[in-house]
Amino acid sequence: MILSSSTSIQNFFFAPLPNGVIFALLVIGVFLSFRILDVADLSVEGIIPLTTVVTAILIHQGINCFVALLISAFIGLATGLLNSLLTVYLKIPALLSGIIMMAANFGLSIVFMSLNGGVATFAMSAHLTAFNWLGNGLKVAGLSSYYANYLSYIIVGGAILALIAFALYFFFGTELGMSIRAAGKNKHMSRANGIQVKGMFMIGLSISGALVGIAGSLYAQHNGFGYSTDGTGMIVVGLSSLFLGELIFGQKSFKRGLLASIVGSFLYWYIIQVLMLIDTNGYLLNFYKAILLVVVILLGHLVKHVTVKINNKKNRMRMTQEGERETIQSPSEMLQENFSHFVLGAERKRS
Amino acid sequence: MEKEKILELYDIHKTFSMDTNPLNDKKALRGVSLTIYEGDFVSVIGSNGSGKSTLLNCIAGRFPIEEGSIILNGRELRKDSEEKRAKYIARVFQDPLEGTIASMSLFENLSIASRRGERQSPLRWALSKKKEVAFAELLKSLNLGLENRLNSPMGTFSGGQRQSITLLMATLKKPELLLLDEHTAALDPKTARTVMELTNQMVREHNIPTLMITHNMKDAIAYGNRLIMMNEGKIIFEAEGEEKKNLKVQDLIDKFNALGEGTLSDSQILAN
Repeated sequence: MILSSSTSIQNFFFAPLPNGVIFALLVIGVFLSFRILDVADLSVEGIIPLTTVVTAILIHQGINCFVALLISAFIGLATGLLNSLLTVYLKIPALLSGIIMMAANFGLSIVFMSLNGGVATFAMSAHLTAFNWLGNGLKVAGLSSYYANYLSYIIVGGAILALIAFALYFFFGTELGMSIRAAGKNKHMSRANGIQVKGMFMIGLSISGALVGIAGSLYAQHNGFGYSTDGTGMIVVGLSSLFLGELIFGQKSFKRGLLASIVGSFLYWYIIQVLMLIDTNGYLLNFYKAILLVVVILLGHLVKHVTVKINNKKNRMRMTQEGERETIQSPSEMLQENFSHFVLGAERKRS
Repeated sequence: MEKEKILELYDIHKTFSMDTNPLNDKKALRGVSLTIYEGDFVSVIGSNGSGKSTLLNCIAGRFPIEEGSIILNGRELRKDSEEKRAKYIARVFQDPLEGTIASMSLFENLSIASRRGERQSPLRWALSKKKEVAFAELLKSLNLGLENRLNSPMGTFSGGQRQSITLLMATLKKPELLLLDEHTAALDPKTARTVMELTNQMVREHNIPTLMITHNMKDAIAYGNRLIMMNEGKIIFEAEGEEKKNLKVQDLIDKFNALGEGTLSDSQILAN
């Protein structure tokens, strides 16, 4: 009895880790499209099944797992690029072009599965994956297979995640990276400063797609199979995780966004773990996920409201401390000072 | 002695098509020709819909033109994109929110503007200590106490501060032409005066050829060496030098009224 409860506690802590580390990449991808480029990119839901299916088939064919990983990254990148081309050159709104790419990739995943005889699986014991080469080694070194597996997910997944996060942090701090961020936030200002807005959008969405592709490939290598329905609800996973992370880190800078994506991903899968305790047969899980997203968004509003209040208070205090550096006029004060100018000011803004 | 020509506009036409029916087309510019010489600071006035904003946007490349040519220092710009023209042309918009990026820091905004129109390297770090020192020095010269707030997000600054910063951004890399699109119109009167003074100081100090749209006729007379009045897509009146200095607001209002009923809105009369 005591033994079983201690293993279930252990399970509770270990079980969400693989998903947390793998989907952190997807969340970073969603962060790039949703927060940096300001589009809701639904193609995520198509990249995941296509890359899981392709990865499973490739590994089954005896292709190296890291080659499969690179091919998946390329699939994601190509999807992101095509998606952005639809938006930039065919003027299809980003939401719609994302749906188009989602449908196309989903369709392709079915094609690949049917060409492969309706399945996309590989035997984990017979083939090396990104994770089990280390897991096997750890087992040989004397670790129980339980710990060996989880450690391999944490170490390999964590290393890939850390590498990518640092690379992104560096890239988005360079001149080009900063231009991408600028183009996503203010097109007029960017164009006025010579930034190629279309090109930046294409680069940004391609990077986002590549990250999601890597997540999909790792997901298949963790599961030992790929399936056409793997992508269902993935955008909800991505957004929920991102918003959860932003509750803690806010949206102030790119670095905080990266941290929010990673921490948010782990938080999300721990919450799912709790929900699974309530909903033991799993029928309600997807429904709970939708409610969770609403709750997280509402919490986000609440946090924003409170921080704005605190900041206002701080600003007022700073103003009074520094003296009247910048006089803030209330509308009534402005009216008293110069009636016609105030009326005019309002007029001008409208014109 | 002949002054050097900076910007030459020849017979510019611009039509906005609302739908497929050509009868519903709006002719915004009907043959505008203008030459701006070295050291010129031109203020442009005109009622709403006179085409002054369209003219600025056509020069900047936001709108393509159907006819005419735009020549800046001997280069034909007509076919160039807005991004390409940014290399030579700097702009300040009417809306303080438009000219800067609210969610990025003051430092990042300045850094973007300092490389206006240049190639963006994917390897070079955008922010450096050297830049920070240089920017802080420049901000100090604005006298707005901004030099210690380089890392604050742009959104935390007031409209006046943002317009002053945008002006600084426009001159970080000296442009061949500066376009100001009613850049003080969204500010309260006191701040508008300060920003206008700053504008004048910067334009004179760096000797930048400037085209400034304004609703404020007083400003149009007080600042710059030339004045242009537009109506229905054409330049209808020009004054420069002594003639411009001696203009009175009432003269301009009379000219507007002579054009017929309703071309001058009440707000513009109220402004002066």
